[in-house]
Amino acid sequence: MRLMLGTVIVSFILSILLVFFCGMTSHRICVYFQLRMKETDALIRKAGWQEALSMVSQAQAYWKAQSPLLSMWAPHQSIDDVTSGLQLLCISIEEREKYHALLYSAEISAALSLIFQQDAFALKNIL
Amino acid sequence: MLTVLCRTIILYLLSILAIRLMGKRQVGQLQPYEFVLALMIAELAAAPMEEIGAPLLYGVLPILGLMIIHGLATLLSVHFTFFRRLLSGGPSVIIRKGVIQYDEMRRMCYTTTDLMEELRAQGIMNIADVCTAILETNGRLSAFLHGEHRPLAPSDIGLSVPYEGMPMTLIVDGRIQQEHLQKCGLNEQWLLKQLRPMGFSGAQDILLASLDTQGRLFIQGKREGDQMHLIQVLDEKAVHW
Repeated sequence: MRLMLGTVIVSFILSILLVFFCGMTSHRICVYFQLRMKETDALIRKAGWQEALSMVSQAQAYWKAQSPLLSMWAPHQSIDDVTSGLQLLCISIEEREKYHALLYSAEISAALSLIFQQDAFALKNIL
Repeated sequence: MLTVLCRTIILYLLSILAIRLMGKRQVGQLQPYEFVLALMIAELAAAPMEEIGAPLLYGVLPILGLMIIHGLATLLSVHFTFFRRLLSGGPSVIIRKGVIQYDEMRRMCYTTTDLMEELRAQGIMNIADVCTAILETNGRLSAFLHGEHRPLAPSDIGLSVPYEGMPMTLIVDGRIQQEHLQKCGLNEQWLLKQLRPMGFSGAQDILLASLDTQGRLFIQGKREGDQMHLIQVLDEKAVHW
């Protein structure tokens, strides 16, 4: 009986820790990218290509570091969408294509928000 | 492909852990809530194994959740009868004093075919011999015969029988079971001494050797044509396990 009680308590604590860890990490990454994409958008609109490229490169490096962790609880397809979106954004900034750069930036934001919406504790997701 | 292998190993080990923590009953006699749990765990563990695109935690977290729910259900069932009846139901008397309880059978959706099948599975051919039959919560039927049809027990004729405990296996497939030998208060030298007169050079020649609580040693060799040996090696009074 004690083993059973112990199992319940350990499983509960483990689940709560996992849920909180995943939620916090998701939120941290989401906030970081929202900020970065907003700043990148502003720079693209002002034709600040070099700064925009440097910002996207930083975001790419950050994403490369965080995506393996995120793969533990986020659908892999959505993660691949963000990875390829960042690459395309990089190329379009290098080529100075304003329209495509803004389009890819919006696509990245949409893919990211999809990841975090799917993960969010909401009635819509529960149902 | 290595990804699939790693995921399979992780989820397999987690499923074993979950099943083991549920106890031995989980494997054989299942209560309704345990049966549901076993099915769900199997399904949850299998899905992320085949779908590489699905995150691993989609398999791990639900299993953890099920362990919590099952643990709570078990603890509440042990402490509260009401909860136990709610989750597992109660046993139903299908045959009372030799009379089939038709209403009870209908309530349990239990047919006469099911009843006859279960009785036959228990070695009872004639339903008229059954005095009481109870349908247990795990779906098994417990049948009890009328006194006159019950097999004769030594106590019926006032016979006292010696203690019959579990025999200790001393050699399994050529390997000496040191732990069992120690429990019997014996050693390897003693065992080998018993084997030599029968033409065995050592434990490697033995398929199975066991010592029963009457002090008899059963030996079966590995070689083709080896006979089964049953020899008295200990006095019954020397048996203490």
